[in-house]
Amino acid sequence: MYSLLLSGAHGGVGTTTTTANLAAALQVQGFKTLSLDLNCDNALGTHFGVHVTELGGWMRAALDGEDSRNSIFQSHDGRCVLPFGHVAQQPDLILRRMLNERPSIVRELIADLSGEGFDYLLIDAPTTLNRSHLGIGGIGDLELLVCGPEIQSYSLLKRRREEVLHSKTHVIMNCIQPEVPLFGDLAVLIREQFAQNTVPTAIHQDYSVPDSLAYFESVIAAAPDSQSAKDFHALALWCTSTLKAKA
Amino acid sequence: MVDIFPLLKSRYRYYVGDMELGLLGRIPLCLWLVFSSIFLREKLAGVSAWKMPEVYLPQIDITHIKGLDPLRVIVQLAWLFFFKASTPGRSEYSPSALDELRAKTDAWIGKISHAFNRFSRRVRVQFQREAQRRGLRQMPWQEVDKKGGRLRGGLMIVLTLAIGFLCVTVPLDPMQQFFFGATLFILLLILNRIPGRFPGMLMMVLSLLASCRYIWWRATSTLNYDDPLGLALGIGLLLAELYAWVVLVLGFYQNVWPLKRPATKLPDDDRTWPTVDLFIPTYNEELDVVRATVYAAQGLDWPEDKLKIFILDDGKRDEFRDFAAEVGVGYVRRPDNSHAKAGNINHALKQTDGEFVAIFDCDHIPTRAFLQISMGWFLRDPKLALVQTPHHFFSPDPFERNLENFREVPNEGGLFYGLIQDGSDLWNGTFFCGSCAVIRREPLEEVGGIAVETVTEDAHTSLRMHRLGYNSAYIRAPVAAGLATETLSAHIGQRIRWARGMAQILRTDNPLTGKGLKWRQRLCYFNSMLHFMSGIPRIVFLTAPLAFLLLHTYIIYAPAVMILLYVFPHMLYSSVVNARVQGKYRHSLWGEVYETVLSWYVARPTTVAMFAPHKGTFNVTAKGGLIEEKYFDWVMSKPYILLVLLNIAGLAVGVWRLLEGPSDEVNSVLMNLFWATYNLVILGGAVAVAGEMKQVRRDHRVSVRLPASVRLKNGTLLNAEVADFSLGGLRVELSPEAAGMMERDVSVIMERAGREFVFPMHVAFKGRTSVGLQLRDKSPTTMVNYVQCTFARADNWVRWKQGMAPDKPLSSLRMIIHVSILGYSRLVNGLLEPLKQSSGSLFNTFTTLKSLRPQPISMRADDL
Repeated sequence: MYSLLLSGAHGGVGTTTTTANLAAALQVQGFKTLSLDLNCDNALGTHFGVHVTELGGWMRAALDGEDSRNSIFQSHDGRCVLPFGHVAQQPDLILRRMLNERPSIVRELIADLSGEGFDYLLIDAPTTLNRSHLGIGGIGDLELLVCGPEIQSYSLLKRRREEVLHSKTHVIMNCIQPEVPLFGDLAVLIREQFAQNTVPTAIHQDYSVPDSLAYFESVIAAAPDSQSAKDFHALALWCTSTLKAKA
Repeated sequence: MVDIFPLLKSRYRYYVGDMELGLLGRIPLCLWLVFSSIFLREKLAGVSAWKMPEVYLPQIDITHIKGLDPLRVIVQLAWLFFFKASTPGRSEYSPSALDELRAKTDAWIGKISHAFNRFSRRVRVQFQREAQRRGLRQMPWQEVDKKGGRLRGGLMIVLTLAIGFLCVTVPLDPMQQFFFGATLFILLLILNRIPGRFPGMLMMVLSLLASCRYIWWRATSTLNYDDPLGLALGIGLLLAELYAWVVLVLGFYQNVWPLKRPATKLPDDDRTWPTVDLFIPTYNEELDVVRATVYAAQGLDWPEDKLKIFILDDGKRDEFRDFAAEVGVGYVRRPDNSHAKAGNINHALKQTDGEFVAIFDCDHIPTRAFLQISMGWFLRDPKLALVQTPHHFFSPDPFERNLENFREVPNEGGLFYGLIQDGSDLWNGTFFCGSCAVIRREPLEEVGGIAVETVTEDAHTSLRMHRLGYNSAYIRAPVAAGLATETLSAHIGQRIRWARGMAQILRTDNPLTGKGLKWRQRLCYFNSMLHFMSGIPRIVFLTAPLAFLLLHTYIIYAPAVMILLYVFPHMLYSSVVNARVQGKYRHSLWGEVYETVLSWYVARPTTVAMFAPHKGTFNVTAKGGLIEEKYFDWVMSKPYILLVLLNIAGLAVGVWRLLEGPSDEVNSVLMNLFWATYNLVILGGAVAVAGEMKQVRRDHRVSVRLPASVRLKNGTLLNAEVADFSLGGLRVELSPEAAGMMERDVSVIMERAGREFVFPMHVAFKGRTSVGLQLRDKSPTTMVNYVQCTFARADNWVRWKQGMAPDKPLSSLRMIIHVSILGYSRLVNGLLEPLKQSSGSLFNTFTTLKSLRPQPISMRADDL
């Protein structure tokens, strides 16, 4: 099983959306995927059609002392997801407390999941500077750093290049908007300055993506003719071929 | 039994698809489906029974039965039954004795091929090692001039010439000559199956042997000195044949080793790159044509401060000046118009100061890679004065349009830009072609600018630079593309100018004499000029059989058998070798059609120019015009029609001679009849070109496959593919659902070099899966980007020729015959304009008869 670790450069760049749609694209290629939500806002499940009344998830299971593997959901197109789980109050505090008690809980969880017969594990992690407490550094065979074509992303890469870009880390540009000259320039700038660590494809800003989510579908299934569906296919293809080349 | 209706329905859909079908279409299909589903086994002869009509009768559409279809069914079934006894399924194939023989020959040829490859690899490695040792400065042609090797080489040449002379001149009796020819032919066929350059060169040698023998025999033993008329005509024919022979020999020499020069890398630091002035000379072209070229030039990959663009306007038009100011390029106008394009460029040379001058005809659009690809060699070789790139055309020329073979058969220029210039490059003999080239300013000024003495100023200029010891280079990368001439008369006008200019140079500045040139360059120039002198020899060939058929004189005074034994090897071998050497760039026999069309028109100006080189004026080639109505160009085709009539008369008299004449003449009559028929076929092709087809689109559309996306107003981005583009807009293909979502106003996003550009467009038409879009915003910035994303893409023209079939002499002949019949039917059509109905019937009858022949069957996996 390969694991892909996805983090955002900052909040709101679309890491969760990218995770869910990349999983769908990999699924089309014939791989069995499991997506794991490490964010306490527990949003990933929605992309897979997990109903809001469903409370299960790995955190919930850990609190209840149950096997988290029983909380895996499957969407109708075959993608599997393990949500964070519903925690009634202050989920961030409770997560921190849990990590104090069992610092390697996430690593153990991932080790458990690797025996479940999935081809790919996609980990939807918090933003790149807010995840060190989870103890998941270096866990992905490939790490995708989701960036927007904005100054915030660029300045993060510029200021903390050493910290956020490892040999396994690749920048994927999300929400490319050629109509906005500034965004276009920044996308070119990032691609040129971090050429070694940039995925050659990018994902366009496309209304089809939120529209598909409203139907609890991936954009691959709901809007197969959209540019973003094609972009996710290209990203999936890049991921599989990069991992194959590394192996 | 319950399941049969859905099954029938799906099979019905398979045949019909989304078509609306009339009752006449439905009945036979339904009958067949019901019959095959109920009475036939699931599979018959390895094919699903219900699909049998589609597989075994590919020429018949069961949903549209035509009157002659029963006949076609009978022919096809008989053919399948008697000739294709076994079905094409793999299991039933059993190798015959012939196949085994073929396998053995293949193995044997494979061994020879292997040995050849080893040899040629060793030579290549040696060549590269030598080149490395001498440093990169060394140009390949300089390898030949080795001091020590000269004596040895000279001895070899003398020895070879002696043996060759013996082979060519020794007289043989018919039987011996037959065996000589047959042996050569077998050798040739074996060599032809071995890939690589050395077998090709060996083939040239063998073919030369046959051709030289023929010419020697013709000159020494076929002239009839007793018959003055026969002697005069015979010498005429012999001279024409000598001309063809010299062109053949020089052609082999020129194309023996096309250099295939790659582009060379520029230094990493672009501050060391030289400055370039880009000239766009224009005289009477429309502004729209010039616009695209300027927009493309503005996007060239070159440091902005090192590239200056100038429109050289000889038309003195204010709208051009305003346009130049608007987009920020230079504009040069001169007080007079002396010496046309050459004078225009020379005037601009005085106003500018870049180290290099790039010249683009205003209808040639450079791709962004043009300077990147062409400039590298200048930095590597300081004596390099010229880099020429091919002229590629994205619109059909009159030949392609009127013969309806655009992008199927290599066009007239294909041979020159594909092979001859590349071949000349080995000998440092590539010359300037007026456009899509870069010249170093210093040598250009040294020869006094562009030459003004002849009407082909381009070739003459490079000849002068070569005389001063400068080098030239040819890079066969299509890094620019342009519009072809529109009408046949304009096209012929242009060729007349070239032919006259070349003849002028031959007279006033003969490359064979004068100082400064190496003999190999002399031969290259001479051959290129000789090409344009083909007019009179071609007319001689087209009329030669008439000497016997009409005048009853023997112009080749020899028994018919001997003629065949000598002529056959000469013609056949040279065409086999040419098919191998030139096949990619010119298909067999097409050269004859091209030459025939031009022959009459270039014959006079070249002859005049040879005697009075300063006569005649410069005529500008007009491009970008429209042909509103289909018409037959009677003026242009007059000479061919005369030749056609003469040959028909010859045929008629020949048939009469066959029936009434003495029996010892039969062979000669038959041979000349065959010759006249062949001439008629070629002439038919020439006549077909004169039937001008409609050309109504102002913007030429270029078919491509490019990724793009379309933004809708609500923010949805659709994935699409650009199917063709023009200066005004483009056509995209999408899925039917996506096409259905298209609104009136959309934005198309296209990518170029990692950068995406947005073009607001509106929908002009909407099909099921394809949508035509027109640019809404035509401001200069948008247009620069648009041209950059379309016409000026670096990889645009590289794959252009991929769809072309390889040269097969027999299928080439078939196509020529087809074109020829098309020509005669157009001629009849034009003649009998009022009786239109009956006139088209000749061609229709031909196509109908052709459709009766059996069709090969092929199976896909899902048919089984």
